[in-house]
Amino acid sequence: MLFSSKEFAIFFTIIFCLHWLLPWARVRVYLLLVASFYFYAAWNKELALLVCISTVMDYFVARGMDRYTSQPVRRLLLVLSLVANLGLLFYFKYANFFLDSLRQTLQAMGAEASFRPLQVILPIGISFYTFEAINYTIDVYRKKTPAEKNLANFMLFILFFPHLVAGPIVRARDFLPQVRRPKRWDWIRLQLGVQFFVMGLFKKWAIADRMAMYADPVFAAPEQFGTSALWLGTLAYALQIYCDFSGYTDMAIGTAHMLVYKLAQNFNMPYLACNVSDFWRRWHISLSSWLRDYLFIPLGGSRGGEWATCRNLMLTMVLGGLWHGANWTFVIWGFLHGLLLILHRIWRSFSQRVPALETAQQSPPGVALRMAITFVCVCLCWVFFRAQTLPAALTMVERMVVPSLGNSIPMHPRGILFTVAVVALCHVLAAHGIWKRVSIQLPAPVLGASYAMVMTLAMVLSPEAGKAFIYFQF
Amino acid sequence: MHAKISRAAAGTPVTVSGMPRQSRRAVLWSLGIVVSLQLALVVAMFWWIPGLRDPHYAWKVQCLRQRMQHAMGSASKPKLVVMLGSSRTALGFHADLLDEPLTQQLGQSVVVFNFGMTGAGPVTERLNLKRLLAEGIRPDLLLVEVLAPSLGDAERLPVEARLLNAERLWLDEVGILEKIDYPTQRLRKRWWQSWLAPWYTHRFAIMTQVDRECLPAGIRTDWSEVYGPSGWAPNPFPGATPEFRQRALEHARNEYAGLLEGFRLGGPTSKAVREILEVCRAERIRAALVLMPESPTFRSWYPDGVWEQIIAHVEDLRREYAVPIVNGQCWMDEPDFLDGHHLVEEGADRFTERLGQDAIVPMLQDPAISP
Repeated sequence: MLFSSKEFAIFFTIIFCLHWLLPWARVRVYLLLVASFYFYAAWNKELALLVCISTVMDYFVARGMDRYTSQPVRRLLLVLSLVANLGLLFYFKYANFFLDSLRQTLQAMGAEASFRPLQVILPIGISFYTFEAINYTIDVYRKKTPAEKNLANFMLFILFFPHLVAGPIVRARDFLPQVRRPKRWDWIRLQLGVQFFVMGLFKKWAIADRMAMYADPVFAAPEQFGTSALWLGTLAYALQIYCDFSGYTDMAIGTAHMLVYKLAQNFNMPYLACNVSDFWRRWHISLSSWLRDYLFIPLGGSRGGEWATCRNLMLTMVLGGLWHGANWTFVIWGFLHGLLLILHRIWRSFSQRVPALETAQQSPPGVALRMAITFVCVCLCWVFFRAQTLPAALTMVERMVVPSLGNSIPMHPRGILFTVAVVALCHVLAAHGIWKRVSIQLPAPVLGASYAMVMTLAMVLSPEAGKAFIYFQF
Repeated sequence: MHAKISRAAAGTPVTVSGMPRQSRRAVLWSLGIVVSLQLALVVAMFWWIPGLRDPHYAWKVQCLRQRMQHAMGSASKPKLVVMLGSSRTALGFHADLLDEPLTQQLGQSVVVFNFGMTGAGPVTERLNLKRLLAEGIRPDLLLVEVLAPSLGDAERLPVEARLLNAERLWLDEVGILEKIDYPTQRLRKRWWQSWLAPWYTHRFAIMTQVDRECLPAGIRTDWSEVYGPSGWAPNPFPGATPEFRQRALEHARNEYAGLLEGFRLGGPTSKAVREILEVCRAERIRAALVLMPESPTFRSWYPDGVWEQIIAHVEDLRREYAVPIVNGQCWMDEPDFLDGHHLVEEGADRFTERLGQDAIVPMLQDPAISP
C-alpha cells in the first residue's frame, strides 16, 4: 500500500493508536512486526513469506558467525549469506534481463537462441532489504556489530514497514539499539513526524505527480517533440524523481518518528551540488554510503593509485546503476555517473594546481556556474535513467543537443517553471537555515496552520489517484 | 531547537519545559485546522457552491437560467421546453434553432434547452429532473430521450455507471437510485468516503476554477463549456475524414454490439424512464419520449426481435402514462452521422427542425396532451 493512500492512512492510524496504547515494550515490537508483515503481505502474501524466510536465514547465519571463532567457518557463513541474498536478488530481478541479453547477443552473432523467460514477480523492495541484510552480515563478520540475539528485533530491523519497500537503507548498528530502547510518548517527535510526513506528501502529490504529467508524454515519444519540449520534459523529470523519492523518504522518516524510531537522512538538497561527487553525497545517501562502504572500499577505494581508483569508481557506479533496474539504460546511467566522477577527479586535481582557478570556482559566480553545470549533467544522465530503451534515450539526447523541431510540451510550461521557482526558493531557505530559525519563532497555532495548509494544498494539487512511487520498482 | 530535536530524535528524553507543550499544540492545531478546512468546504458546497459537486450539471443549469432570464424580458412568461438525454441529444438537438420559429408560431416566447449530457442515460436523466425541479425549474414540455440500447441492462450495470460517480451525487439521490434497483452498495460507501476529504475529492473542479491550464484536458471539468448557450454541443470533429468516421463507427460498434447481444429488457434504466414519467405525472408536467436517430448501419446491429421489444416497451409506457412517443430512429441517413448515432451539424439541424415541427409545436399547441 502506498504511503499516500487511504488504505495506509487507516492502517497507520490503527497501528499508531495500538502502539501507544500498549504499555509493554516487547508487545510493541511484536505489533510492529505483525504490522510490517501485513504491510508487505497486502501486496503479495507469498513474497512476504519469502522475505521472512531470508531474514530468518540471515539471523541464524549472523548468530553462527558470532558463535564460531574459526575464520574459515565465519567466512563460509558470510559467503552463504551473500550467495543466498544476491542469488535471490539475481533470480527475481536480473535473470530474465541476462537471459534476454544473452539471447540478443547470440542472435547478433548469428546463432539460434530462444530462452523462455522465467515467470517471476519482482518482490517490491528486494533491492533495499537485500542490501540491509548484506550490510548486517558483513558488519557482523567484521565484528563492527554483534549479532542480534533476539529474532523479533532482527526481523523488525529488516521488515520495519516505513523503510521496507524503498529505504532508506538502514544500518543494523543504527537501528537495532532503537528497537531495544524503551519508547516514551514524545510530542516533539510526533511534531517532527507530522512535519516530515506532510512535507513528503506535498512533494509526492503536488510536485512529483504533477511533473509526471509533463515528463511522461515526452519520454513516451521523444522523437515527436522539439528541443525545448525535451529539455522541459527532462527538467520536469528531474523534479519528479527528486520529489518522488525524497517525498517517500520524508514520509518514511515521518512515520518512523511518530513511532519514536529514527531513520537515516537520505537526501540533502542534491541539486545544490557543485560537482558530481558532491551530488552523490547528497542523493540517496543511504545507497551511496552503502556502495562506498561495501563495494568501493573493499575493491580498494582510492588506495591503489589513480587508475585503480578510477576503475573502482566506475565499477561501483555501474553496479549502482544496475541495482536500480534490469535494463541497459540503468547500466549506462551508472556508467555516465562513473565517467563524470572520474572527470571531476581529473579536473579537481588540475584546478588545485592553479590557485586562480580554484579561487574563481569558490567565488559566488563560480559556485553558481558549477551548480548549473552539475545540474545539466545530472539531467542529461536522467534521460538514460528514465528512457524506456537505449535507442530512445540516445534519440532524446541527440534532439536535446542538436536543435530540433517538433511538438511543444503538451501542457503550458508555466507549471514547470513555477514549480522550479518554488523548489529553488525552498532550497535557498533551507540552505541558509531560514526555515529552522523561523519555525522556532512561530507560535503553535501558526505552525499548525502551516502544516494544515500544506496538507490541503497537496490534496488540491494532486493530479491523479494512486500513482506509485518510482523507487518501488527497484 | 534543532539540537534539542536531534537529541529527541536520538531517543533521549527532552527535559526543557515548554517545548513538548509547543509541539503538542502545533500538532493539535494542525489536526483541527485540517478538519475545519474540510468541513468548511462541505458547508460551502451545500450553501454556496453546489456546482462544485457536479460541474457539468452546474454549467448546463447556469446556461438554462441565463436563457430563461434573457427571455423574461418579453411580455409573457416564456414557455420552457427542455430535452433530457445523452450525448446523442447533446450533439443532435440544436435547440438554438427553435426559439424564434416556435415563438412566432405559437405567438408567445419559447425557450428551448438541450439538457443532453455526455455519458448520460435514463438514470442520469432521472437525477437531472429531480435537480431541476428542486431548483424550481419546471418545463412546460419535457422531452425525454430513451437511449434504446441501454434498456437492456437487466443483468448488468448500466452503461452510464462509468460516469455516474458517487462524488457527483447528493445523499437523497443515492436513495433515488436505490428505488430503481440501481446497485448502490459500493456507491454509497464511496459517497461517504467522498465527504471525508472534499478538497481531495473535488480537486479537479477546484483547480479548473483556479488555473485550468495546469491540468491536462482529460481531467479538467470545464469540457462542458463546449455546450453552447442552448446546451447544444456542435460536432467536435467537423472536418472528419471518411477514414476517421469509419474508425468512429467501429468504436461505436465495439461499444454497443456487446450491449445489444446481451439485451434483456429491464433493469435500472427502464425503471428510470418509468420513474421520470411518474414524476411528470405527479408534477403535472407534459412529457414525451424520444427515440433518437440511428444510422442504417447502427440499426443493423440490433439482433432479431430486440428493436421490437424496445418499441413494445415504449408503447406500454405510452399507454400507461398517456405520453406521446417520437420515434426518430429512421429519420436520418448515414452521412448525417459521425459514428452511426451522433449527428453531425447538418444532421442535427435537420433533425431539430423536424422534431420542432412534427413534435414540439403540436405538443405545445394540443391541449389533449395534458398531464
